[in-house]
Amino acid sequence: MAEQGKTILIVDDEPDIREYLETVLQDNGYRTITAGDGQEALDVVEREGLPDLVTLDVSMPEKSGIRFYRDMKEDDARRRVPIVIVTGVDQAFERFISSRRSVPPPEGYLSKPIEQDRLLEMIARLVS
Amino acid sequence: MEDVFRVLFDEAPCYITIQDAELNIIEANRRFREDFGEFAGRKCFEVYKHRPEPCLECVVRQAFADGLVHHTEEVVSSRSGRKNVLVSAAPLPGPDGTISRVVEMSTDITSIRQLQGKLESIGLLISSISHGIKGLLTGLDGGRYLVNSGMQKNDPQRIQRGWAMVERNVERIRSQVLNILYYAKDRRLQLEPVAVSELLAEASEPITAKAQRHGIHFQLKEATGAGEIRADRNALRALLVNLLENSIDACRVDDKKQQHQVSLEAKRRGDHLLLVVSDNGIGMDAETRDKAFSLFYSSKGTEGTGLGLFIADKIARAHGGSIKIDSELGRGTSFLVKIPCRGPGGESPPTRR
Repeated sequence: MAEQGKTILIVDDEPDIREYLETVLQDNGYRTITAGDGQEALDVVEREGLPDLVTLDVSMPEKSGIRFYRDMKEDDARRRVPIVIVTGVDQAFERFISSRRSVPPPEGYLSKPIEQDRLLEMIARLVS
Repeated sequence: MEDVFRVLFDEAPCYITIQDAELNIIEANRRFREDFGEFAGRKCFEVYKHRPEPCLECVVRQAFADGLVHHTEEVVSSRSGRKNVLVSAAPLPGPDGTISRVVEMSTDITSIRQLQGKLESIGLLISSISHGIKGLLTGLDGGRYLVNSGMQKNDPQRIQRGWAMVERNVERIRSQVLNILYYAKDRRLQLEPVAVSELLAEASEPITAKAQRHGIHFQLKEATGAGEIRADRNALRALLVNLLENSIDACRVDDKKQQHQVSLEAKRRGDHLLLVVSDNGIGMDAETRDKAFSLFYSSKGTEGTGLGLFIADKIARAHGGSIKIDSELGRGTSFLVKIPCRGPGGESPPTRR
């Protein structure tokens, strides 16, 4: 089902959730890179080039998830990378999106706890 | 004053004072005297606020100025603690029509404010709990996935990682539920002799791993001579874990320093035990410091539940102790926890039930 060898960047401040997503995605044929906050994620993108998709937790301290999202979506080259938001509750993100018309909404939105089948189906559709 | 007015004055369900233009209290009713003490020769703000200057917006002065009735809400310090009061100031014109005195009436609305605070708290608690639980469930899901797929693939190492994940998240659920319980009801302290060094070791356990994950140096300083205290072991552990987690978070969000450290130390100070949790994280400004122990106040955005420090403070107080914050923005924070060694009641004998 998965597109072989596509690279997913997993951004979450919770190590257990990074490890979980990493394992599930690798088991389904994806390459994975992880980052613990928005700044680290930006560094990864700069260092290793654009991934095929990002899963992003936006409820991280210091709003670094929202900042990373904005940096990705406001850049012409980076904008085409689909971002799937994975979050507990975060009205801050919804407020941010609705307050800025220039920033497009995310390609996917999943709330925790994650339904694995939905996650895989969504990623497969977005990277193909 | 006629008897009927005297009774009204003294028994009205509020504090009543009569003040002159310099805010000297000329007369006060019985309720006022009972809760605030002697007023002779003292000014309104000295008695109500324990400070040398009047309120910025003083309704009594306003009533003197325009001859109208003015209202406001204030927090005042009575003999039995802080009170929220609804204040009205009404001018008393003399025979020639000039205002020489103002009647100031303060109604105690502390219980209404507390109730309101509790209702708001419940709403916040629910959203904060549900957020926390979603994250923890995801962690449990992760562990389950690793264990199941590890068994299918016959990969013992993966099973081990998965099981550790399950254990970590179960532990977190446990501490969160404990926090909620501490919040939800006044749990009775289970007093027992507690070896301070053991207490410190137990509190450090979950923190050591967390600090390591974030590259923070955690130091448990030797508790030599700290001996034993009479306390609720689980409650004190929860208190320390809450403070330590706060310190770790303060370091995590600080990008100004190369190396971060958190330390835990215990010292005997006479008949008190002093526990010190220090970090060189972002530190607190005056506002954060003032509100740090308020319920649901969190400076950590969606990350914080606003329960941790509130509960830590509650536990310290239940033990007859206190927590002091020594903090500077940019420099770091020290929490100084003072706990009486012989338990909340001084030298209370062991409780048997």
